[in-house]
Amino acid sequence: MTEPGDLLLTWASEVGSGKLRPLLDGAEWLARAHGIRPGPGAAGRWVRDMSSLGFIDVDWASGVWSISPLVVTRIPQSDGLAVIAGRRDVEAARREEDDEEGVLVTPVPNRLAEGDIPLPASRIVAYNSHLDLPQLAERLGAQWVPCFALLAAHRIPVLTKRAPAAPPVRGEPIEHFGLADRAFTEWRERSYSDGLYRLRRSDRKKVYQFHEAGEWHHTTWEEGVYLALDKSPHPPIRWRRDPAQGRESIGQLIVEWGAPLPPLHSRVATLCLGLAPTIGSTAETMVYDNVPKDVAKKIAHSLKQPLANAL
Amino acid sequence: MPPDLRNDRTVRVSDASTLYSEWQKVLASSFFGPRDDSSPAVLFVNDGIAVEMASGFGLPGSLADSVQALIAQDTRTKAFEPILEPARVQSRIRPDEPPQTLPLLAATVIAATRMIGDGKYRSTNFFDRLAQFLTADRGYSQHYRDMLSSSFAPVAQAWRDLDTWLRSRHGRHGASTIVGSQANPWIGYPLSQALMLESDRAAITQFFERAGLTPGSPASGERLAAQIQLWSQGRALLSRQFRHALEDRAGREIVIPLLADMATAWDGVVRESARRRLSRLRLHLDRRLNPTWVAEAISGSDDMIVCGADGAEYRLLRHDEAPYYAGLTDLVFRAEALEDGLRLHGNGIAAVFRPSPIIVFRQDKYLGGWVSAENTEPYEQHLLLVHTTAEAEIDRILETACPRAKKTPDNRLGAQGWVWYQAVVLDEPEALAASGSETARLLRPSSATRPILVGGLKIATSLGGANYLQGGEPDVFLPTAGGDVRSVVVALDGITETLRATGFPFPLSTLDPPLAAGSHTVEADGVTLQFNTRTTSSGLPAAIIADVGISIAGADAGRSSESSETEAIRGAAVPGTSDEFPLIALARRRADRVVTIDHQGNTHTHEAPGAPQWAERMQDANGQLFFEVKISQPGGWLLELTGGRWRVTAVNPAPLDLGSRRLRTWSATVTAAAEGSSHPLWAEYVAAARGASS
Repeated sequence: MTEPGDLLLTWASEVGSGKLRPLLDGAEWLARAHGIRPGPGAAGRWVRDMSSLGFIDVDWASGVWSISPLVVTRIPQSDGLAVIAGRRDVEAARREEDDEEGVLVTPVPNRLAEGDIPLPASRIVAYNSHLDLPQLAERLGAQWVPCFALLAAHRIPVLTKRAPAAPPVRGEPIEHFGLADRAFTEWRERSYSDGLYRLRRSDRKKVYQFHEAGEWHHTTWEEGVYLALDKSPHPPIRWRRDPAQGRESIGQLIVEWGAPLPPLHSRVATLCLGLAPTIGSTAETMVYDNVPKDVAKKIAHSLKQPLANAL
Repeated sequence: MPPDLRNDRTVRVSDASTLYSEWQKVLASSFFGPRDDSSPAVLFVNDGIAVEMASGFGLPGSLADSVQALIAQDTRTKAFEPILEPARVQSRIRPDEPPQTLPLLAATVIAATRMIGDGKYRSTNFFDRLAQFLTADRGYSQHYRDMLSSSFAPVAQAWRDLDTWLRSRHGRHGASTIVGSQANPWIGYPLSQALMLESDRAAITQFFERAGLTPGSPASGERLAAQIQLWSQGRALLSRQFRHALEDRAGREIVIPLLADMATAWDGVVRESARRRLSRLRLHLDRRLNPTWVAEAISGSDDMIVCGADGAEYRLLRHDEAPYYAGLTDLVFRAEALEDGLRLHGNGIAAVFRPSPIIVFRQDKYLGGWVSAENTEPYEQHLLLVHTTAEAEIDRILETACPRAKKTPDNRLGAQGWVWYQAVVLDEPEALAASGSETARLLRPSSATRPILVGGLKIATSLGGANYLQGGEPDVFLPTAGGDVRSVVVALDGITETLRATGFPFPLSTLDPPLAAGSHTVEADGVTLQFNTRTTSSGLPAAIIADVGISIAGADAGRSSESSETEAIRGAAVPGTSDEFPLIALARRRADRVVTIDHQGNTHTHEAPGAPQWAERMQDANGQLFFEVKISQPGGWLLELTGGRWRVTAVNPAPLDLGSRRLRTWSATVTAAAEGSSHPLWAEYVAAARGASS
């Protein structure tokens, strides 16, 4: 029987695009049908992970998603591994299964925490020669991207405030992002201090807005947190080198839970290994493996954060 | 002198005609008066109402007398002609007025109510009751009764004429509720007015809404009758007489076509009573659990004034297609409303909150926070506000059904005798099914009124119909009996099994063996549900709803949005993949020596690094055979020495460009590996290296 995570990817691939709500509902429903009790926010985390793994692209503001193109891309400093991301419809799966050119594609399961909705297994390719991958991509009908993580890291824009926004509607609940606890709490003052707010607009949409020097700007949850954390004495991003000899320039990117990476940053960090980030429960962090220090620096720099070295 | 019989009769007929017209006027104004909305017009009269009307309006005689006095006694088949003939004439002269048959028709309704009281829905019984009523229970002859029966065909026609008249008025005198019955072609008409009380008709619109009926579309009366029985079980929603008719075989024969007609005629309006549309008042709690009232919007009514018991007025305004009206912010929440309920009245609307010892709150996507709801939903988060009378029972049920639920006393609503239960998630069907108590009934998910398919992984939604990806078959939801667990015979593709309807769905996606791809049917409660499963959506029309990418340039750089621009990252695809990217070669870890050389005379020796931190996670994919070696642009050669033999791999090598450089290491390495490749360019490298070293 198809594993639930793989079935969800097949489903998303066959559907192609749509509103977010049915996707979230479908994922939650299938998890339940397989005896998993999705924890609070599990469906949202599942969608973010699916985006980080390069399976889907998500526009949270408009509430829509679409399946991402099928891509074969290399995993940096990985001893000859690549990952297949994007659309995996029945046709793509058939081509992969029928491929007998000697390239080994192995499903590697993604680790889940309790109450998580299953993710698809990552399709990891072990190649023997640098020539294997473009040919494999051609046979699968996929795009060949030499190394997404390194290429996209160059394209990450530096964080800026978005377009001006209307001030909050009076009388509606509004929450302020606290720098100390990195959480949202009800804001009851009459005037607004600078920082990130979560509020309901007059059209009832729940949005994130950034307040600075009396002006309001549109933002997203992730970007808003980093705007708020600008020049914070406790930077939320750290990097730790791989202890193995000869791997000084690559390691783990460790990001605090309260300051999740924006979608592009998270995808760059995730596709450094092709496996979903894992939760470092004790330290309340997300851990991205196999991230080159250069990539980590670009991620931190674009979020206006110093890159601290982790012990 | 004996009274002149003829004269006396003239006088009496004149009196009787006056009495009849008086009744006609009273009935016309009471039941068919002009109105602004097209609420249903029902000519419902029973003995009690007839007596009340006579005294209330100061009528000089009873309804029975007004009809009986005009009935012809010396005929077999034309007993009602003295009423019907003038009525026909009147209709032609005054087409704007209701037909002058209302007292006669009202009398037939009373006969029907008496018949319903007997529980015997037969024609013979009806004419007995009619004769009894008209003779004011003083006794009647078999001849008289047979005469009424033989004369009745034109009365049925009079019912049809009233129906036609109401329809020709386009609702200005109310919407017609008159329907016939094929099983009882004559007495069906009066029964259609008598069998259901106004409250039944209103309740049935609430059922129609709950059952998801499409206004104006036909539905099987038989199925509706069965579903209404299930829906209303154990709840005081329907009148005793209507429930009784539903349970009786002869009663069902009348009720079933009536329900089918009501469904076809339903305009989508949910009613609280005959004259009032129903808006449900809901209690909304924000994140801090501050209570406010909201009223559920009714389609077609976007701006109304309602007023409370204290006379305070509120303007209910609906913005766009909002599910709730704005305008109740000034309606202060008082804890007494939890036990007493709350009603606001307006012109043609009633906004109602019905009290209950258990108030279920569900998260509301529109308002945010929590909103009181009719029932629980399986697997969803709930807040419960429970009166202490039900507290012990709830404790007992939740102990197994949801041990994680947290109980806290109320300090938010100021409600004496109420407690909160937080984090109530009902995901243990059996734990809830075990209890048959009234409390369990209130807690049990029971949202659907008929078997439906829920969940599943739908594909090709633009096609309509129910297409699911194989493996993502939907669950089947079977309605409970008004919240009570029941057994249901379910046929899946013709194979029957008895299942317990517990308010929770049955998964079809985890059946062993799994369902084959194709068409499937589920039959239960007389409903057939059909769905298709497919292994792929290929070949089906696909709707592209969005094409999302992450912009990498411009003001929205870094932001995910629906965009047609090509300069966007989609998944792992990056536009404008660059050539300046370093080339990678894979070197064998077991090689004794690994060297790369280029066309300009550079030589690099590489050491195999240690195993990566994550190697174990990838062990199924990677045999740890290779390590990566970077080769700078435009390219070069990878040289591996294993067991004394060199292997040379071309990595996009460029033609030699040594200039005047004569590099010993480069030349020695190339010379040593001269046999490692048969690549023609390699031969040139070897020749150059040998020339350099000679």
